[in-house]
Amino acid sequence: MLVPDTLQGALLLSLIDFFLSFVVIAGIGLVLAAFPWLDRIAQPGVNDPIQD
Amino acid sequence: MHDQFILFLEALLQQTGLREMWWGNLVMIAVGCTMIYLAIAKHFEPYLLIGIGFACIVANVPGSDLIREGGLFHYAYQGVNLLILPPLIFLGVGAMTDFGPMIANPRLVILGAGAHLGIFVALIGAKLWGFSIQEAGAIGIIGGADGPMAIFVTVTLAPHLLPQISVAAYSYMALMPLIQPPVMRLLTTKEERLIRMEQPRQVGKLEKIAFPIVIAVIVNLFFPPVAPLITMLALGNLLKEVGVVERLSRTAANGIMNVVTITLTVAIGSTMSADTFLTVKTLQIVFLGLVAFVFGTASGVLTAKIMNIFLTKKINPLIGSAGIASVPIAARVSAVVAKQEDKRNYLIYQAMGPNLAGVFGTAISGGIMLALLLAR
Repeated sequence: MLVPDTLQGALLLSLIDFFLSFVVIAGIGLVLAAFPWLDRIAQPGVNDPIQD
Repeated sequence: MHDQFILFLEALLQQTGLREMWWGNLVMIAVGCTMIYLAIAKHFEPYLLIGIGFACIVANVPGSDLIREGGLFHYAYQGVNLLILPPLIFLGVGAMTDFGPMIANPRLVILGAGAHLGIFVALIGAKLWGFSIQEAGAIGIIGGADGPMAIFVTVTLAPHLLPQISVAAYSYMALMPLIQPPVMRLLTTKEERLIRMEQPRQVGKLEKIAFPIVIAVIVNLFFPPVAPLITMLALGNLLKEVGVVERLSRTAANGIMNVVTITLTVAIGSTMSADTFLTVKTLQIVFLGLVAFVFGTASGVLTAKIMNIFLTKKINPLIGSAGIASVPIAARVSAVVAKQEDKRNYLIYQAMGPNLAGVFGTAISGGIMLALLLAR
């Protein structure tokens, strides 16, 4: 087994898991921050000046 | 004639469960009745507690064939054991959930990780109490406040603890309005609780359609152990957001969800027989579950306070505790506590962001835990 069945193993597992959870969820946050671009792609020209 | 009559009666008695009845069965029948009472009288998670309580009563009637191999409740449990029912629950949850609040405010998703310290405090506590590392991991996940995820991780790591862990997880989720507010008030000042937050932006249709697809790709790529749950959540949500398969979306959110809820609750309740449930381990797990919820709430609030050090537009730290998952109970608790301080402070939409992120936070924590504990 990769994680030893000891208190030290539990501490190590907790530290890695807690830290990586932050990293991954921050990554999801970054992806979501780019989402408003999708609306601009979906509605091209909404803010463009109207041509006569 | 008389002898034959006695013989018949004895034969009948042999087939009843009366001879196997012991005080433990009576205690568990009382537990089942209490669950049903709480569901009816106090409205504590009635959709869950009625089924669990009823099956708990039946499972503790000796002689009942329902929980034995070949019995209906036994087959219901196979749905849990084979990890079929928890992903189907997530399909329904996805079809019922609007992820707009999470998409609209991406910086708040960090609270979905911050509110999960309780998982690890309970994990370490369980290890100190002599549980194996697999058992400790399963106990820790109670702190994720996500029933199907707790079941999923427990069945994979420590299936023999399923009754205790699922009951603790669902019971504390029902009791969150009592557990969280004192911790939230203890860790915040009145000024912090009065902070008003501006309404987030409107989220476009394309964003809502892209969200479940992106999430399914990320989870399957990085967290295969928990992919079945989150993939089904994403599928359910996609059915809802595309707007062209309303019939399927409605079926996932209503028909399937209801059938699976009945089957799942009966399956959990049927595992609560006195022989396996009335042990010191059960009390330890129930205590560790409470510790997990308290620390999860505290760490969510503290993460929000730390974020406020760096943010110009301050966030109300009360929404930090919503990152513990348990949608939408935790978000509702944040909104209620904020409203008790200021009647015109409506935080429900802002609290739903971290609350939904908490679902992914639990999945990520569970996924990493499964990946590390199953690796050889």
